Amino acid sequence: MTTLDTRSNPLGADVHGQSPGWKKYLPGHHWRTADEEFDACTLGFWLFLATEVLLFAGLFVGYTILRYKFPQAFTNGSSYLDWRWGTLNTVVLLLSSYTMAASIRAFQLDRQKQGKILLSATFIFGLVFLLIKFTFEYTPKLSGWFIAFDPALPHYAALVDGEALWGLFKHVEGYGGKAPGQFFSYAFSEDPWEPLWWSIYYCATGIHALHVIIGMTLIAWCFRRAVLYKAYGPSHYTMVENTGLYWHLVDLIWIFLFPLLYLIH
Amino acid sequence: MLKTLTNNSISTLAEGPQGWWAVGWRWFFQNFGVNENAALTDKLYMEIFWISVGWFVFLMAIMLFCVVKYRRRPGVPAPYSPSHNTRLELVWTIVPCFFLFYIFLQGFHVYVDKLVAPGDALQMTLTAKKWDWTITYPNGASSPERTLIGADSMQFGGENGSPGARPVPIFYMPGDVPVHINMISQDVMHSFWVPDFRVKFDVFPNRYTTYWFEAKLADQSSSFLKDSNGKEVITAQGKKVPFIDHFIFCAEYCGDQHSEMLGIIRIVPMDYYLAKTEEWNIEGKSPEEIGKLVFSAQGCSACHTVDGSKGAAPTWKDLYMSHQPTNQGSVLADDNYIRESIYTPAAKLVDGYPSNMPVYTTAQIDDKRLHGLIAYMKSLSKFTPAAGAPAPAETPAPEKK
Amino acid sequence: MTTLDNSRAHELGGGHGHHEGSYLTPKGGFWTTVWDWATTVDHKKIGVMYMVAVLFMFFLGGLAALAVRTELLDPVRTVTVQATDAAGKPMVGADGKPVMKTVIEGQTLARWFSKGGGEATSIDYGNQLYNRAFTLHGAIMVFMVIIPSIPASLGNFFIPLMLGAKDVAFPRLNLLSWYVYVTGSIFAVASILIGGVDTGWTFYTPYSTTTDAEHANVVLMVLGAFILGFSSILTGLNFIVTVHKLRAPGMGWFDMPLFIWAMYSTSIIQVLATPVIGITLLLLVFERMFKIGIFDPSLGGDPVLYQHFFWFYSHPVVYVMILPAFGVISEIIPVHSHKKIFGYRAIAFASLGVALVSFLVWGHHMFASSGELGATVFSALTFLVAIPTAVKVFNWIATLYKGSIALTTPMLYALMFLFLFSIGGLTGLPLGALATDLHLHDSYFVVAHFHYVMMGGTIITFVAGLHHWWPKMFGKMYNQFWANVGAWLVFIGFNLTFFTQFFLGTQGMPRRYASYVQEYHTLHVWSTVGSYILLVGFLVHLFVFIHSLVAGRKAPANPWGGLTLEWEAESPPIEHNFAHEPIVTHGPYDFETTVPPHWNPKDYPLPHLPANAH
Repeated sequence: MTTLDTRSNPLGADVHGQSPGWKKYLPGHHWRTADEEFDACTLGFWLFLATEVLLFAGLFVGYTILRYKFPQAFTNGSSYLDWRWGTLNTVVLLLSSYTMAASIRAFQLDRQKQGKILLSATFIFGLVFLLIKFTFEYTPKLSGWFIAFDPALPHYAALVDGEALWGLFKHVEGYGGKAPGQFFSYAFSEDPWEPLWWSIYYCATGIHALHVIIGMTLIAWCFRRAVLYKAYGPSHYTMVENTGLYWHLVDLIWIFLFPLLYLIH
Repeated sequence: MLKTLTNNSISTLAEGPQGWWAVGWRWFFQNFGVNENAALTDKLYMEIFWISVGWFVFLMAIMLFCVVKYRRRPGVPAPYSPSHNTRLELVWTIVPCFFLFYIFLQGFHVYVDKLVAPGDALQMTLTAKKWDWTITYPNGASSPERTLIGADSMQFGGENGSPGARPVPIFYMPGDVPVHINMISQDVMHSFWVPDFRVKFDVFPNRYTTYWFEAKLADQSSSFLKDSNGKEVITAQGKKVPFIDHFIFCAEYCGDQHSEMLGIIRIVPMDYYLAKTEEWNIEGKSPEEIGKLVFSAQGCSACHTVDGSKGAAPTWKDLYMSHQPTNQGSVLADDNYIRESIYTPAAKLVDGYPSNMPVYTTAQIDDKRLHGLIAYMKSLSKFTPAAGAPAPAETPAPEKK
Repeated sequence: MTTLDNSRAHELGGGHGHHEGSYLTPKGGFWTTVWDWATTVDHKKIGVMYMVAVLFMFFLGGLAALAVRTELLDPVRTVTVQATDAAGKPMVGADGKPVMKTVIEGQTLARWFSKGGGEATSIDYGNQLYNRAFTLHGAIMVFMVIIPSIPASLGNFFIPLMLGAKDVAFPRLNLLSWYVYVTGSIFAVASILIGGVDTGWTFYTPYSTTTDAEHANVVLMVLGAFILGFSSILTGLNFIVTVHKLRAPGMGWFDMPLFIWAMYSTSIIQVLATPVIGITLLLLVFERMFKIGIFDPSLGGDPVLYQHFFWFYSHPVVYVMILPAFGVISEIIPVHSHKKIFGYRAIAFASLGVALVSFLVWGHHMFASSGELGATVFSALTFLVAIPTAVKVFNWIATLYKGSIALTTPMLYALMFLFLFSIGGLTGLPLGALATDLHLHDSYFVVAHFHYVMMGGTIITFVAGLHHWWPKMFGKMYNQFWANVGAWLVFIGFNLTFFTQFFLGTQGMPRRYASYVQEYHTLHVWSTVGSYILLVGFLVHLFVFIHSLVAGRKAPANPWGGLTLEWEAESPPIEHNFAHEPIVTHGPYDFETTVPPHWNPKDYPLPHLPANAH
């Protein structure tokens, strides 16, 4: 008996052959047509996105209540965030959303090379976002260590004598310690409830960054399948489409986070 | 609010519940409510109960009728009936609404009474901590009286006293006057529940919640206060003191001794209540007397003993100026150490005892009370230097292991 | 009924032209079979694996419950007795008076687990064991038993069958859900093994963020619940898509069995509510590990915020627990009384209505938190949610009217459900009314109420559903006599255990007390006796099932005369469920006009047909 086994590669054995993967794709054995399967996957993915929105909704409710209780702490805390980094990251994510959408379009038109280039561009934008987040935002705030070419550095270095390490990293005394909750040790805070602001900041941006990482993993996986199997084409592009949906959600959440965190002082 | 309460038909509490709803009341409640509001709560409960019984019996009767009448018998066809009847379905959707609406309205009405205290109520504060209650009276005094449950002539509570692991505080409250309590917790959430009052409210660490009650006493009690020797207490006016006890339970889970976090509200006549609170007022007392009062009132006595026996925490007998083995090395239990142990108990822990002493603030134990406690400890210790004499040359230092 | 040849199946070579084996047929040797089950994407096998896992967790949670009840057999009290010397003689002091010592009585758990024989064990030690036992019981029963019980086991097995589909929409995701469920359960069990959790299953802050500060067990348990939430979300999502996209040809929305409607409503709640508890539990873990302070009053946070978050999920989840039970009852009652269900659309819409209103009533868990008039709104909405539920009960009873009622084990359980659930529902009224709730909140009344609803509702129905579908799942009949004996034992034990607790509650016995005052002793003893009768009842069921698997008579394809599509499949179903894709030509409950598929007059007579018909 030859039952279709959904566990093995659905693209069939001839993966290195001439015929591209998307042409050989067969839907799961319980589907009547590939279109029905595609509809089901999209519906399922939209439901999943709804759960993601609700997950962040919990954070936004927490943000709202705490900001209502401690408006001053939020304003003070927000003033340590540099709107220029935030804006840059917003632009990066918006661009990446564009490249993601364009890549799906390219696969739908069977422009394999263009699709792969756009996918890798999206991945790189995601990487840039994370780099900015960690090196120019998290690290200085937590530890006081700056990278020497951080444009924000001269401003602080003028105030205090910086301590340099290998010439590449500079330490600004007293700038670090803006950790969440109990680990908050920033000496110059002006509001006793500032630790709460940092808790919200790190939870929200941290969970968002985790989503960026998950999205990048999905993109990398799509890229691999596109390279190895030519898996996506005009008649089958479910995975890359849903990865795109996910990436747009990640972008959308940032669009909400950015003004709520960066633009309130 | 009081007006609406006193105008109500239920006023003779001692006679027990009146009216049709009293049928079956005894199955659910042991003590009749202490005031009209509690009685109204019982009334509402019994109304809901009998409405529920009505519906339940009605439904189950139909069900059993069907099961018997239409049981499957070989060769007997089912009679069948339509599977849809708009009129019937509308009726059974709308009729319960009336019952539900009535119950909701009654619940709301009686709830508002529980919520809003009359303006002339006596103002008190309650502090909850793991696992003890403290109530501060309007004159700043707190009740130092405690009892093992069952050790006293409780109206509620059996012969054998249980849980009885620790003495629980007794709070004297005046009868027939409204009392308004502002409640706050020092650590986790608790919930202040006096079942006889039919009200509970949660106690939070970061916000005040309020609780109010007015407990009837006049003509309600036939028992009179006795002292520790079993003799009836006679006041200066030559009167016996009628009283009614009500249990306090902590109703929000709060850790190991949650089920031992009890207390007693003892309703006594106003004049006796005033005399008692004046007796416990720390104004004009010697430090040692103050310390003794604070020792009980702040719950120290829940864990510390003063007779040398082992409690949940080090005994105060011979503690002062002794050497205590702690997790920070041997420590001399002098005034500074005692002060530190009260305000930051986790700093140095005496070996063999867990870190479960609550943190006190200077608001709860102010300088006067702190000095009192130290004076009280001095009076309990054999190492206390005699007045004017130099400190003893050698106090027994524990051997290092 | 006609069937349509599935042209796709022909093309793909599946299930056509020759007879396919049952899904239970081993694929080879022992290890091959184990591997086959461990990697299966067949919804039936996954359903069975869920059933086994849930029943195992039910056993664990039940043990914890018995520990709790055993501890409560006796109030804890301190008594003094005469001390004895090493030889066992009573000791007398130098003054001629007996030497007294203090003994703590009624610490059953402490006596079981203490090394030194158990005399004068500290109250703390006994209470710690008790607190861990009831937390364990609550967390396991809620997160690992009741929530996945009917949806994940019976739902997985029967949703595709009832829809006439070959599988759920996303079979691999389905397998993943099972592994996620097992992972979450392992986390929870691990937290027990390293010392247990004493927070109560609600993990209320700030207690849960401060207790056992140096240990990881609370974090493990909370993470376990968080992971279980993912399993719940994935299963719900899978079911919603399955119902939308995989109905058999001819099956419109209102031709679906009511079990499907109930599962559909349940899945909506699971998908919409679980993410909120996800972020809440995540924040709780952060709170414990990094002291971020969002729920910690000393850092400016708000413990009540946690309660709002928690109940925003956990109240809808009450309906995740009970709606599937409604679905099962809506199947069992028409089939076993051979009568069309009364008010099909009312029941279907009531399921959806309950699902929607359930999101608006979370505040009724916090009437005692603070005296706010906002509580009034929640109270009113709570009464609103009672109406669709009441309508369903009326519909079920109306279905019995003029039917042909066979008192099989599933039917017996369905009737018991009506009895128990009515009590559970009606005792919700004094809890929804504000004034009485301030007395009854957090008392044994609440404990009794939610056991009547959750256990009397969901667990009883789960067992009913198992008996209803057991022949289909495993192809074996069971001994109905002994199954009925088990059912009656469960019924009696259940009522004895929990009806007594209503009285305890009104008299003032608070929840989660390891010790209590003397007044409550008698009722507690009855309650404990009842819990052991419950144990015996469930053991009888266990033996009936084992006996059925080992020596049961082969089940016919349609032992009860059901009309829904799963009865068209064989017992047990073949690997791909149906040899031919079924086409729906009649409603799921048209008993008056339809001869059930595979009907054999020898199995059971049909009320409206002579025994020689067909």
